[in-house]
Amino acid sequence: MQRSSIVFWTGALLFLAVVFAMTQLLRNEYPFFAGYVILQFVVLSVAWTILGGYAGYVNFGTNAFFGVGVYTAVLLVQAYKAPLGVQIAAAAVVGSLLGLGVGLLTLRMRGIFFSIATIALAIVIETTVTNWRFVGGAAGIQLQRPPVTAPFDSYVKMLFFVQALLVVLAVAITRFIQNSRIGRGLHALRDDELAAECTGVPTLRLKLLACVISGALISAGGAPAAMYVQYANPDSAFNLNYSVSVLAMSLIGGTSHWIGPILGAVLLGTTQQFLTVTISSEINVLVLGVMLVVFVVAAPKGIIGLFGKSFRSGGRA
Amino acid sequence: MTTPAAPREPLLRIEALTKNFGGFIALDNINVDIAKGERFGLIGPNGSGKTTLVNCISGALRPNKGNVVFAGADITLLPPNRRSHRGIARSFQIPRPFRSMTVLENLMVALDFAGNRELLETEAHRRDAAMSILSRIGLTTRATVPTAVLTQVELRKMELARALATGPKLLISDEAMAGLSTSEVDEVLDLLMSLGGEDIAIIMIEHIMQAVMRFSQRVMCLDAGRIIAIGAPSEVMANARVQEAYLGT
Repeated sequence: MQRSSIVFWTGALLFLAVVFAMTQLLRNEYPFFAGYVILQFVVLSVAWTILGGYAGYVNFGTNAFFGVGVYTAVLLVQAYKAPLGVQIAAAAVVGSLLGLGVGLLTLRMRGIFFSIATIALAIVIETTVTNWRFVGGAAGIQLQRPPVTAPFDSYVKMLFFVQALLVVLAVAITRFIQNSRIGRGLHALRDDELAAECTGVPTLRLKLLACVISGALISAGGAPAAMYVQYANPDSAFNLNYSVSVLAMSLIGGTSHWIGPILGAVLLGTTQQFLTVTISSEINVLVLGVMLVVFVVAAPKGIIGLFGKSFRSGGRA
Repeated sequence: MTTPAAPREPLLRIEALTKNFGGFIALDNINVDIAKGERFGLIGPNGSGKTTLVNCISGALRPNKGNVVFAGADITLLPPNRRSHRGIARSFQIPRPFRSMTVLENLMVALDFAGNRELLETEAHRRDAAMSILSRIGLTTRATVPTAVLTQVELRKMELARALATGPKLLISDEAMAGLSTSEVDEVLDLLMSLGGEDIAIIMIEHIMQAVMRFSQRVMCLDAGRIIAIGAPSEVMANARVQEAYLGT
């Protein structure tokens, strides 16, 4: 194993150990309640970066994939009382299929046209769910949490740990892509699609792969949200705020390295949680907008762009 | 010295190729064979269809009629990346580097996805292969430099290096010398000549006539999408229609 891999996996295990220790030691549930949201945004932003950052296909349909994750979980709970693990796995499968479908339909479009198509997708799916009685329709649906299993003493703590596992999974996959020839191929097609094709890069296949993996991870990251709020309605599950937040987090962190979206999600996620408690949840969006503008002007390559060469695109770690 | 007649088994065969953009006929029933290792000059005034022909060969465009046969297989409908795997490489009239990458990384893309991956299993092998191509092209000192800071001649060379890294049997050089100084033209020309010696067939599109004359074993001249002359360079240059097309008498 390479040195950077040893460092990475040590860090990942350490992170999980700290998260687990927190669930066992802290009694107050609030840190987990807030932390869950931040971890969720880390998963979404990292997953988004595969397609939006590496490949340069800006996906505005994060909310579509997120909502599909939520509603896959809702459906499985309603129909089969499926356990959390099954909900997440199924959401990943459905998300990957959705990614494949979106990819096949839209990846021949470039630039802003692709982005618009992904917005349309979210609206189509939301409308479908809104008219689907079995999962609650427009009014939404209440969900009953099953009893929590040891070693956790509360469901939110367990969800927090599960989301941490998803963070490690998402980051490991994204890191693998970045360091493999897939990542190099995605960077090449982002820079110049025709030149990439003429250099042997199977651009369509790589874009589809990016779409599938990104979609699967976003849906998986969304699945536990159903049990987190114990309620789901189309309005909140398919809220455009997810797309905007994830886009802002990824861009503010920097999209040329997997660490960028993590930094962005932690920074913005923490700020949002802080503002929600101290001022109001309404002010979130304003702050998001201001930060995005500041970063676009002052640091167009995101936080990691400020730290020079080691994190520039193609750099390996 | 020159071989005006195409040999029996061509590397590339273009059969009755026609390409139109709406009502505009860019290529009209083009037939030509190119032999293994041949140095082939492609000339013609602006808008005569040279780059369209190159795009049909490399796969960036699909012809409306006709076939492109490469090494015995019909590749008319294959996407560019599959053609690259079979051994067709090209440079672009306006250089198209991967801008977020260094020179070396540009070549690594080619080695990662085309090239002889069986021979170059590890990343280290591929890196060595890229460095040896760069040293041959004379870009070793620029290997770790981002492509954004390259000069025009370095960009042209980088594109040729990247094309070579795919391990081509046919290299199409689309005005690789445009905008270069005389000494730079000679430099690039020597490079292309040396590749011809390795059984890489080269189609060179060029407006610099001395370069075309010195380089080519055969020259083809296009005008308004048709072949108006093909043969030994001196014959083509002496052709009245070619002179008319160029000088517009």
